[in-house]
Amino acid sequence: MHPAYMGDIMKKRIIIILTVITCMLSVIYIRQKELLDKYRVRDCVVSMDESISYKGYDISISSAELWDYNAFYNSIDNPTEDVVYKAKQDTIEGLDAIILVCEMSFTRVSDVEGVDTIDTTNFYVLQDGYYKVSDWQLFNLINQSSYDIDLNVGETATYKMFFTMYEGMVSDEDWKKRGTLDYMIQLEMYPERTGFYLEELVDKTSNEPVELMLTVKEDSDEDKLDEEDIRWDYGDYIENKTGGVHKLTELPPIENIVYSDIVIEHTDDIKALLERDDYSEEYFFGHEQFDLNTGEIKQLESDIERGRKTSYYYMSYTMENVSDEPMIISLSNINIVMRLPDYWVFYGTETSYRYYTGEPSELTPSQMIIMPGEKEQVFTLQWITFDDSAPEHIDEAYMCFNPTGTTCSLNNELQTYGIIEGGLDR
Amino acid sequence: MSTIIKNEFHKVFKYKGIYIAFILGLLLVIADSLYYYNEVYSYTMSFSENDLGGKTEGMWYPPVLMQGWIGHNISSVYSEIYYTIFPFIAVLPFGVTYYEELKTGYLKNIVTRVKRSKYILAKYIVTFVSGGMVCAFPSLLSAWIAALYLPNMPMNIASMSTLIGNTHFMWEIFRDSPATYILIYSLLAFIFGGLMATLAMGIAHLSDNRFFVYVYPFLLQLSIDYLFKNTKLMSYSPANVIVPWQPSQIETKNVVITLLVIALFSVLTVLPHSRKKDLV
Repeated sequence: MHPAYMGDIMKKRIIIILTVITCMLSVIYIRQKELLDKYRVRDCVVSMDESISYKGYDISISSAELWDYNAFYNSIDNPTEDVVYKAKQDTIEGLDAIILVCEMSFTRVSDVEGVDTIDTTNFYVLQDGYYKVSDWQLFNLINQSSYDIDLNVGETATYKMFFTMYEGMVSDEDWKKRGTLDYMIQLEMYPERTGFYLEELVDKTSNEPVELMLTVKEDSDEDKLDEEDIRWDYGDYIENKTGGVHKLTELPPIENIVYSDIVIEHTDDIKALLERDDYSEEYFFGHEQFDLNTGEIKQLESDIERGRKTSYYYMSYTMENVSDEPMIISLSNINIVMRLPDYWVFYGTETSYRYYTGEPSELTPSQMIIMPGEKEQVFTLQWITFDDSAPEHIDEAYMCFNPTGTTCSLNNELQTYGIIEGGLDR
Repeated sequence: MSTIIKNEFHKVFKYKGIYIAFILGLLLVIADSLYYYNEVYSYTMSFSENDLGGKTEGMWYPPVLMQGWIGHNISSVYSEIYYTIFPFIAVLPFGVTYYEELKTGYLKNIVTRVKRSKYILAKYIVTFVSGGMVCAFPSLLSAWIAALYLPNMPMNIASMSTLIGNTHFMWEIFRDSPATYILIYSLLAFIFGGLMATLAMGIAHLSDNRFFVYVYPFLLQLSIDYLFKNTKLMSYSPANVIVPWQPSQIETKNVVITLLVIALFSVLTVLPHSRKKDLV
C-alpha cells in the first residue's frame, strides 16, 4: 500500500476516533451535570433557620456560631457568657482554628413512630454548595454525638453540639481562600433505640465490677434483657459493693456540673510515661495483634505493607470529684488535640487511639461514677498512631471528655476539658 | 522516519493482538462495572433511600465516581485481574512483532532500505504507544462508564472505603479532584503499559519461543513483586506502583524511580539491536 494512501486512511481513522471521543465526553458532560445537580446539597441541608420534619419531630437548627478556638479555650477557666460570646465570628478569616457550635431544637409534633436516639456524627463541610468532604476529617464532634430524645407531643428539647476544626491539615492558601464556612449536619435517627450500653462499672475502692440492679419498667419484658446488654437509664438503680444505692434520677442536673467540680491532675513526668515500655500484654487492635513490649507486630502484614509507623503514648490522669453529688464520667468520647511546634493537629478518631484505666490491660469502661469526694484512680490513655504524621514533639495536648452520663439529661450540653500543659517529647 | 512510523502503525491494526487486547480490557471493564453496580451501588442506594427520608429529607453520602472506577474498585476481582495481567495485555498488540521479524528474516529486508537505528526507534515508539493504548483503555473506559451514573465528587474519606491517606501518592489530588486523579493514573497506565511492551522487544533476540516473549514482561513483573514483597523495596514494585488504590503505600519518588528504572532497562535492552548487525 502506498504510504500516501495509508496516510489518508490513518487520517480518516483519527477523525473517527476523535468523533467518538467527543461524543463520549459530551455524554459524560451532560450526565455529570445531571448527577451533580441531583447530589447538590439542597433539600437535605440542615442549616441555620431551616427545619425538617422526621417521624413526628420538627427539627430545626436555630443558631450556629463560629467561635474562636483560642478564646473558647481561654474561657474554660473562667466560663462566663461574656468571654464566650465576645469571640463570636461571622467568618473564619484569620482564625487559627474554630469551634462550631450548633444549637438544635427538637419538637415533638405528632405521636407517630417515635424517634428515641439521634446521632449527629456526620458533619460535612460544603464548598459552593457541594460536599467538600475532605474537610470532614478536620471536624470532630467534641461533645456527645448521640442524644436520647423522649418527648411528649408539643414538648421541645434543645441540644448544643460542638464541632472543632483545626488548621494544619489543609494548606494555608486553601484555608484563607475559603473565607466563610458552609456546612451540613447529617442527622441519623434510630427509632426505638434508647439508652447506652454499660459494659462495666468499676468500684473505685475495690477495683471490682459494680453490680447493677435494675428497676425494669412495667411495660418492659424483663426476660429480654441480656445481662451484657443492660441498659442504663433514668429510673435505674446502681448498687455498689459497699451497699450504697443511687438512683440515677438523683444525679444532679447537668447545669449544676461545672468544670471546677472535677479536678484533673496529670502526672508531672509525662515524658517518662511516654517513654515507658514495660507493657507486655498483647493488645488487639481491630483484627490485628501487637506486642507492645517489643513493638513487634505479629499479625500485621497489611499494615507493614502500607509502610505505616506505630507510635505509643501514655498519659495518666487522676480525676477527683469535689462536688457534693455523684458524678458520671463518660470516657466514650475522648479526643486528643495536640499542638505541634508549627501547627495544630488533631487525633480524635477511634482508630488512632485506645484508652485504658487501672491495670494496663483493662479497658476503661465507657462510663464511670465518681462519688462525692472520691478520687478516681489514674487511668492511662494509650494512644497509637499508624502513620508517618506521628509527631516527634508535642507542645501541648488537650483532652476533652464528657463528664455527663448521656442518658441523664436532655440538656446534655456541657463539656469539660482537661488540659495537659507543658511539652511532651516522644 | 515518519513514514516508517506510519507503516508500523498500519501493521499494528493488521495484527489480531490489538483487538484481542481491547476485547480483553473491555470484558474486564464490563465485568467490573456490572459487579460494582449490582453488588455495591444498588445496595448502597437502596439502603440510602430507606433511611432518613432518602431523597427529600436527607441522604447518605452517595457513591462516587472514584468508587466505581476499576482503579479503585477495591473489592472487585476484575480490577485485581486487570492490574495483574497488565504487562501481558501491553505486549499483545505489537510486542512480539520485532521477534517475528527477527526470526523470519523480514528485518533483513527492511534494514537494507532504511537505517537500522531509525527502524528500531520507530518500532520502539509504535510498540510503546500501542502497548500504552491498550493498557490505558480499560482505565479510561471504566471511568467513562462509572461517570454515567456516579457523580464526580470527592470520596467520603470517613467512609473507610479507601486506603489512600494523607501520606500517599497524589493524596491531595485524590481528595480534591478525583477525575484528575483518574486521568493521571490512566496516563501512568499508558506509560507503564508502553514500557512493558517495549521490554518484550529487548528480549526478542534471546528467545527462541514466541510465547516466552509474550509473557516475559508479565513474569518479570511477578518476579520483581515476589522479590520485593515484605521488603523496603516493596513500594518500588511495578505491580504496586500501577495500582491506583495503592495497596502498598507509595510516594512520588517510588513512581518516578520505578518508571525511570523500567525505562532505562527497556532502552538498554533495545539499544543493542540498533547497533549490532550480527543480530540480523
